This record gives sequence, structure tokens and C-alpha cells, in this order.
Amino acid sequence: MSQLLEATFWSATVAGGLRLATPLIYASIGETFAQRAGVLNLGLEGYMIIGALTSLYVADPTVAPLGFLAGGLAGMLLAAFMVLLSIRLYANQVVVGFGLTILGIGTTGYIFRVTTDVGGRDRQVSLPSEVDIPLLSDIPWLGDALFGHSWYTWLALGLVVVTGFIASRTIFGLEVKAVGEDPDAAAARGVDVVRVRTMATLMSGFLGGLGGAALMLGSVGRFQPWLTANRGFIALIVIIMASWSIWGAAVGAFVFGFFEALGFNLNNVFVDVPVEGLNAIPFFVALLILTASARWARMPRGLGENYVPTV
Amino acid sequence: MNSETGAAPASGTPLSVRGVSRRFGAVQALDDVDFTLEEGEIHALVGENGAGKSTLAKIVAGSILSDSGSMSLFGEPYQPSSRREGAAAGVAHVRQQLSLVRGLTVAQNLQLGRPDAPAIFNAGAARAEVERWSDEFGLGVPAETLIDDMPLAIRQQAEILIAVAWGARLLILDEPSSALGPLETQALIALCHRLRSEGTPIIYISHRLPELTELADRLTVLRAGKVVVAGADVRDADLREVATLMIGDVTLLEVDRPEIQRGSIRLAVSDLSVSSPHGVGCHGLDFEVAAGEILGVVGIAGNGQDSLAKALTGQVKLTGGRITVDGTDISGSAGQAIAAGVAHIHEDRSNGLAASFSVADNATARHIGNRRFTSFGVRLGDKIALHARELIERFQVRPPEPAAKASSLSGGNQQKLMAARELEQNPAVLVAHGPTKGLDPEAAKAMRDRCFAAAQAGGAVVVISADLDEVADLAHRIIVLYRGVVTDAFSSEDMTPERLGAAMAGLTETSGATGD
Amino acid sequence: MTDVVAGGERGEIEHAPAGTEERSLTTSLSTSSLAVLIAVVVGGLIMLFSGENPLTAYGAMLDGAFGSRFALGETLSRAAPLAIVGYGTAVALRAGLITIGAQGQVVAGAIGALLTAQFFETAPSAVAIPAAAIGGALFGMAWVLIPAMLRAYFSVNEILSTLLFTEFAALLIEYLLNNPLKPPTAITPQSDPYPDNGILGLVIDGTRFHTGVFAAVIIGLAFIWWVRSDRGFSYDLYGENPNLAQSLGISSNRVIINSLLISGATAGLVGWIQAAGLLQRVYVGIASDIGFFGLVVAFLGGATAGGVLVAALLFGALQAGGLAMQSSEGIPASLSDIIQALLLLGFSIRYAPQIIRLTRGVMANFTLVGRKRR
Repeated sequence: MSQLLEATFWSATVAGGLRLATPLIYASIGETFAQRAGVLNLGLEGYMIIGALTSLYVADPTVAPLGFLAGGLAGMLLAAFMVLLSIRLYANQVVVGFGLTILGIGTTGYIFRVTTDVGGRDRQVSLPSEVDIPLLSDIPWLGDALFGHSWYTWLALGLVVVTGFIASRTIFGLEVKAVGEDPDAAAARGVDVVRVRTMATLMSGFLGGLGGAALMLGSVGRFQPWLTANRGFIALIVIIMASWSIWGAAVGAFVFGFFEALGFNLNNVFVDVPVEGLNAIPFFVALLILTASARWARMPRGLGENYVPTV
Repeated sequence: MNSETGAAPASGTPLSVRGVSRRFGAVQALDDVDFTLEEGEIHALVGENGAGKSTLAKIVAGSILSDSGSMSLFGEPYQPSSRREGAAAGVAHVRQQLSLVRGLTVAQNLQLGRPDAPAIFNAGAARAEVERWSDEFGLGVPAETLIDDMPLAIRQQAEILIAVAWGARLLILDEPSSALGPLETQALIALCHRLRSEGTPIIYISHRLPELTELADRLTVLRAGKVVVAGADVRDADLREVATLMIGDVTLLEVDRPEIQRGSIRLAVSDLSVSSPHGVGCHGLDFEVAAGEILGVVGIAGNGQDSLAKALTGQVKLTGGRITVDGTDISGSAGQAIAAGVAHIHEDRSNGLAASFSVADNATARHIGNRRFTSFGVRLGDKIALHARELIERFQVRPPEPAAKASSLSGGNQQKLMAARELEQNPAVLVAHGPTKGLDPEAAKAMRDRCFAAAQAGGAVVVISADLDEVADLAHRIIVLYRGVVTDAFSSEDMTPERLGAAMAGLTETSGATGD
Repeated sequence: MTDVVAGGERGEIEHAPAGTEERSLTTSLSTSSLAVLIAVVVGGLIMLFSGENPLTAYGAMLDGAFGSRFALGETLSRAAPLAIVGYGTAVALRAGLITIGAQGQVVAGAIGALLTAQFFETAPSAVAIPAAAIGGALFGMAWVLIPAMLRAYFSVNEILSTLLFTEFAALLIEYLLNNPLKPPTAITPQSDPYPDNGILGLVIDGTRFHTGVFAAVIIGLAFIWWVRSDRGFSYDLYGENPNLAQSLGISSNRVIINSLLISGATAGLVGWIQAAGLLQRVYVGIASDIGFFGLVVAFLGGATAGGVLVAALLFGALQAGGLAMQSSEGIPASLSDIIQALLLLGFSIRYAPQIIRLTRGVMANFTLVGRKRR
């Protein structure tokens, strides 16, 4: 119990939270773009897992950054199906999303089993070294929490800044919001709705793939079937909580990561409480957040509905 | 008139359309149409719903292509293949369904889709530009308010403002006054005159003739895709003759109001309040409607009409007050409202029908729970189809196919189908929300007659509409809604544009008046 | 409601000529076979790339699904749970709700059935068996109750809330099978054997075709009744146009809660037949992927009685065949997941009119958060 009063417990939990949040940050900022544009990617789970496997299989013989990039491209490839089926052929986004999630899990499971001989060498990568930002780590307490993160985490935070700027300060960001809110009016103003939605969806695939790759290369190091374990769906909750803001999504991802880390760390404090109960904490928090979000979150009006050009 | 982004100075006739035709499936929407817009004029393009006005406007704006014919713009050959191209050439089309993106501000809409906008959105510059134009025309268009939060008239001004800022050389206004009150219409006319004096010619599309004498210079009449009057001087035109030319059978427009015996009170609304998450709701409404009486509820769209319609049909929980039908409280219960005999013509047909369900299922949907049509809980398809056939016959739904999908019917027949469902039995109360909206003259007349028949049969009728003509045709008595409050109430003989205008703009002192 | 209108431009008047029904049936049949063909061909290409012979693989798959009495039993015992979950999910889907929580509800139902059966351990089978079925269904309903109420009263998206409840169910069963329900002798997490008096016996010896499979037939008949019933019609109407349904006095909360409870009950029943029939014990992985694929079956079958049946049999055969192929040819059974996903994607394109009608209703109700704005 007394551990709860120690600053190091909390700084370790915050640090762990940020580490666990890293894949979610990539996935949720990408998905935020797609959803702001009105495209619901329930296939995010699929983008992540295919990114994870690809990154491992490219990084193993080559180098991690190359694997990371390949993971993003693999996610983007899967998202191209979403573009083809839903944006071009008007198939229901929910159905296609589920299909892509199953496709991602099935394909990665297949490739993994085919390439892994029983008793043979399992592909794996060594986890990255920590990159400390000189001044940040010197801050008391907070320095501990920000200490010991890999470049995947720093890149994720950098991307939050960049994509946040794109979303709120560029004409493209404006177009994204317009086609998600009111595609007919946006088209009437001369915005190419299909093009903007396509770009936002591919972006979501790329960033989702990067999220899977960050999970693989940054914190797991080896593959197992259905490695992502619903993280893609958690990202959807994070986006709702953030009310479709990029910055908010990053914060939301951290909140979920924090409670996940808290669940782990509390296992050492409350040894008598069943581990399953403590592991349920992040999901319980997610349910509370999901319920409470209705108070502040404002869904893009056109989300989930396909745009069919008139005449 | 040109902004810094404008096109080259105008020379030659602003717009000349020669022999343009366009067909949609079996319908010849435009048939060999000629049209000329001269410099510095406001040219009214009139015709009934379905006459082809909007199709012509879309072709000129570039939204759709013509099948044949040619156009020239300020003396240059003009063949736009997209609305973007049309806009780049200086043609701005302000549509009935406004094309400002909801969820964005006016300043953001200004830069959205603008041909020469920089990649980075400069919020300050955009705001300044909106404010500059707004001041120049003496408009009150706010730069940083979300489109959702602006009244319709302001949205319209914002859209015209953006068109001008983009360097429009020619403006098409498509039914701009159809949802405005008298005061807003006056302001719109003033803005049009101002634009004309600055040298921007305007095509003004309307199916309402009276306002044109004040507004326009010339008029062209379309009927069933053909030009029947080409560029006549408005001052010389005989409006009655024009109306005849528009419709062919002018008796369709004439309303013969039957004599109706007024009976006892059937609908009583006292201190009704409803809150609405995305609208203004209603606050403290009091009124009564007697058997055989038609009450008109007017107001600019978005002033609580939706909440009132939902409250009267039991679809929302009231935050205060009560609604009784023949003494029975129906507040907040659609089931009780139906049991008490409340019928509802929905404003939006897509809301009022199950589009992918059959005509029979739609026509009989009020019978859910009626044992007559089920056995062991299972619906008896034959009995339902038989009953639907009777209703189809009585309400003249075409084609008379019970198995056809509701979505396959024309708008007028969809409206008849909805009437068949709601008016099968004589209603105690009929809530008709925009009953003739968007219908051609024949279908509109049929709907008006249904409303009269409901009143004649002893029903209390409430007609809710933003269309003043519709209410004037139907109602005996009128109340005006503004921000969910009744601002005035009078009998239809006392209805004057001034009085209506003031009440619709919320400029009267009275509120919550009963109107008796 | 300005969504996709099948086969026509929006806003255009389109008179339905006689014979539309037959035509759409042919289109739907030919697109169905096209989707199946694509899935099979792409699956074959994947095997080629990974150095396997697709023909022998598919041969092994067919053999494993239909080739013997045992194989047929495998196919049926896998198809039955998919069909049951599919029918329950279809009721919700027709009302415009997408629940992927069946996974967790199957787990809850298995626990509920086991606990009930243990309670009635000494009762005659005629009591113990129905009691366990009811126990399973009630636990399945209980597991969806909170998401249903959250959806009805706070418009909380049911996809995400039921997903979270699946996580809770997974953690709960892990806890139970590691602690209170674990027999002292067991090493891996599992329950005691299912009480004998509650076991659903085998129909054909030497297979796993147990009497629980017939529950699918009963649920299928109940579904046919539901679709034709007045109540079912009103739920369908809500799914098609919630605004209209509400104006006709159909209570939105009642439709949401009841249809989700129905789906929960069927998933709970599946938990029961898996525990009492197929496995005769409760394991952590008792739900396998049934919940998830049950939804896919409902989608593929267009939420119709016949469609769900065909889709469930197809998926049952694919899964049974996939596992057989894995053990005989060494080709991973995940291949059948890939084929199932491709089937769903193939069917998702708009030329499958059933899905269009269905998903338009779903999208009319769809919200991630709060009431839908127009």
C-alpha cells in the first residue's frame, strides 16, 4: 500500500502509460483524420496487425526504420481495399471494416504459421534503445516519467504536432472536415469529396500500420497471432473521447495507456486482488469514458455514410 | 465589382443559352431552351416545380452537362464541365439547398474549394475578408459563427457574399425567397438591387410571381422544359396570364375553400414547452383548435416548428404543459396520440415513409398491433395487401401496386401514400407539416383537398409551414412562431405582409397569445 | 435518408417493373457466386505464393468438411452455433443495431449453463437440461443488458460497448477457471466436467454431432416466425426508419433493449450447447471465434432466415475443412479466416441488394456517440 505514496510508483506508471500509448497514438491520429472525413475504419485493427507483422519481417533481415516504414505501407495497402469497396463502390463501411479486420488477423496468422517451423527459429527483433531528450529528463519527477522512451514514442508525439497542424491550419484539413460534416455541400463548393476521403483513409491505413509496427518493434519484438488484441477498437473509443480532435486523441491514448500500466503496476501492490480484476481497469475506464463522452463529443455528421455523387 | 481574384472585365452579353436540351431517363427536363441574360439586369426565371428551372441553372453553373445546345458567357464560348469550372469562369449558383458546409464558419467556407486559395488556411485574413464584404454591402454576416448556428436568411447572405468575394460576374439565385419571411425577402430584394447597380447581372429563379414585379426587370417562363415566355418586360406582363402559361390549367392554383362548420374544441395545448438538443424548442405555447378549423403555424424554418410537430404527435417528452385531444392527455406518447386519432403528415417524405418497404406495408403501418391483420402474431400478407389495395384506390396512389417499393413512387405519389396511411380514418387532429412542399400543382391541389376534407369531417387541423402562400390558402387562423414562442396570432382575414413580417422577425410585443 | 439507393441514381423516379424480384434474385445469385469464386481463387493464390498446392489443399478441405460421417458431424457442430448467433444478431441488425458482443455472451452463457447444471446435478435430465439452457440464455442476456441500456438511454455505441464486455467476459472466465471453478487436480485453467445429467448426447456415434445442434433448427424456426410477426415488422420498421417508427408509437428504447436482449439470449444458448454438448466442460477459449463470425454470418445472410442458414453452413464447412487441412496437409487453418473475410468483402459491394437494404437501416441508426444529428 505504501508504494502508492511513492513518487516513483507514479512516475513509473506514467512512463509505462506513455509507452503503452505509443501504438495507440499513431493509430488514433490516423483514424481521426479518416473519421473527420466521414470514413469509419473498423478495419483499423487489421491495419495495425498487418503493419506489425510486416514491420517484423522487414526489420528482421534489414533495419528497424525500414521495417517501421514497411509496416505503414502494409496498413495503407489494406486501407486501399476500404477505398475501393466503400468509397468507390459504396459498400457499407461497417461491413467492409469488419471484413478487413478479419482479413488482417487471418492473413498475418497464416503468414506467421507458414513461415514459422515448429521448433524452428522464431523471427524477432531486439527492442530499441532509449532516447532521452537532454533537458526534459532533468525536470524533477516529470523527468523520470519522460525518461527511457524509444524514438517511436518521440516520433509519435512529433506526428501529433504535425497532423494537428494539418487538421486545423491547412486547406486540406478544412476539406477533410467539410467532407465529413456535409459532403454534398462540400462537393457543391468544388471540393473533390472522393479524393479527400481517399487520402484521409490511406492516411489512416498508413498511421494504423505504423501503430502496429511501433507495437512490434518498440515494445514486443516478436509476433503472436492477434497480437494487437483489440487495440484498434480501443483507438476508436479514444477518438470519441477526444471528440475527433488530434490533440485530444493523443491525450486519450495516453489516458488508456496510463490505466493499462496502472493495472499492471497495481498487481505488485495488491497481491491479493485477482490479476484479472486489475487488468479490467483500463476497459472499465474506457466504458466510463465512452458513456460520458456523449456529454461533450460531437460526431462528424456524415460519419459512416457513403457519399454518392448526385447526377 | 470584381475582387482582386476576379476574372477579366466583362464584355458582350453576360449569358446566352442556345438550344439547350437535357433528358433524365424518361423525362425531358429541358427541350431546346434559349435564354439570354443582358447586362445589368435581374432576369426572373419562373415555372412550376418540375418545369426545368433548376436543371437550366445547374447546366449554366456547370453542375450538370446538357445533352445538346451551346452557351456563351460575356461573348466567349462557355462549356463548363464542373461547378468548379463554372465558378472559375465567374458563375455563382446559390441553390435552394444552400451549399455552405455546416460545421464550418463563414470564413472557413470562404476559403473552402476556392480556386486560388493558399494551402495554409489564414484564419485572420479570411475573417477580415468576410467582414470587409459584409460591411460593404451593409450585411450582418458574422465571420466566425458556425453555419449551423445561423438563421437561414443570414446563411443565404453569406453564400451570396462568398460568391461575390470569389469574383462572381453572374449570379444565379435558385428559389431564394421560398423559406424567408416578408422582412427577409425585402432585405434580399434590396441586396439584389445593390448587386445589379454594381454591375452583376442576376438570374432569379422562383415560382412565386408577386414579388417579381418589385424585383426583376424581365421574365422568362418555363413549362415542362420549354420556354413559353422569353424575356418579357416584367412591368408589361399580366401576372395572371403568366400564371396560366406556367401551369396550363390555372384552376389548379385556385383554392376553393369549402364552408366548414366550426365545432367544439378538439385539440387543446396549454403552456407547452419542449427542449430540443439541436434546435430552439418551444416555450409556453397556448392554443386551441376546434373541429372543422384549420390553424396555420407560420415562421421561418428552424423556429420551433419541428419541436411543435413532434409534441403534437406525442413523439417527444414535454418539459412543461400538456396537450389534450378530445380531453385525453396525449403528452409525450405517440401511441396515445395515435389512439386518440392524431394523424401526421411529415414534413420530409423520406422521414415519413419506410422507403425500401412495400407500398402495402407503408399504407398499413398504422395498423401495427391490430389483431385484424395477424394470426398468432404473424402478419397476414393477403389481408394486408387487400386492405392496401382499397387505400391505394381511395387515395389514388399510382402505380396501384401494393408490392412496389415506396421509394419507386414519384414525390406526389409518396405524399399520397403517406396521406393514405395517416388519413385512412377521419382524424381527430391532423398535423400537416409542409403538406404541399415541393409538389407539382396537381399533387399540391390534391393535398390541399385532403386537408379541407379532414376539417370538413370534423377534424382539428394544424398546418405548419414556412411557405406563407400555403398557409394563406389553407388556414382560418394563424399563429406565428419565432424562436419557439408565439409572437402573434390573428385570423386569416387580418393577415398582412407587414404584420406577418414583424411577427416572423420577432418584432412584436405579444407573445403566447391565444388568438381567439 | 439520402443514402445509397440500389441500382439507381438518387432522387430519380424509378418505377419498379414487374419481375424486379426475379431479376434481383438472379443478380444476387450471380454476384454471390462471383464473390465465392473470387474468395476461392485469391485463397488459392495465397497458397501458391506460400509454396503449397491449392488443389490438394482444397481437396483436403472439402474432404474435411463433407468427406466422411465424422467430417459432416464437424461441419454441422460448427455451423449450428454460428447459425444461432447469426439469427440472434440478425434480429438486432434488422433493428439497426450492430452487436459484436456475442463473443462475450457465449462465454457468459457457458458459465451460466455450467452453474445451473451444477445446481441441478441431482435432478432428472428432463429438468436439468432445459434449466441449463435457460441459465445460459439468461447469463447471455445479462451480459448485454448494460450495453443495451447504455445504447437506449445514453446513445452509447453498441459495437464498442459490447466489445468491452467481451473483454470483461474473457477476464472473468480466466479468473473463474483459474480459481473457484478449477478442479484441484487440473493443471490448465478449466472447469469440472459438465454434470452427466445435463449432457447433450451424440446423435451419431464416432462424430461430434450432438443433439444441441438441433437448437439451431428451433432458433431458425423462431426467427422465421419473428420476421413474419407483427412485432418483428415493427422492429424492422424501426431499423429502416427510426423517426417514422417513433411517430407510429414504436418505443425506441424498447426496440433497442429487446433486440439486444434477444441477441444476448441466443449467444447464451450457444454457450450452453458448447459446454453441454460439444466440449462437456468449460474452457477459457470456449467461445472460439463464434461471436465474431456469427455477426459475419448475419451480414452475409442478409439477416434472412435462409441466408443465415446457408452462410452458417458455409462457414461451418470452411472452419471444419480448414482444421482438417491443417492436420493433414500442414497448411494453417487461418486460410479459412482469409477466405471468410474475402467472402464478406465480396458480398459487401452494393450489388448484393439484401445487404444494401439492411445496412441502410443500420446506417440510419448508426452513431458512435450521442443522438444522430441531421
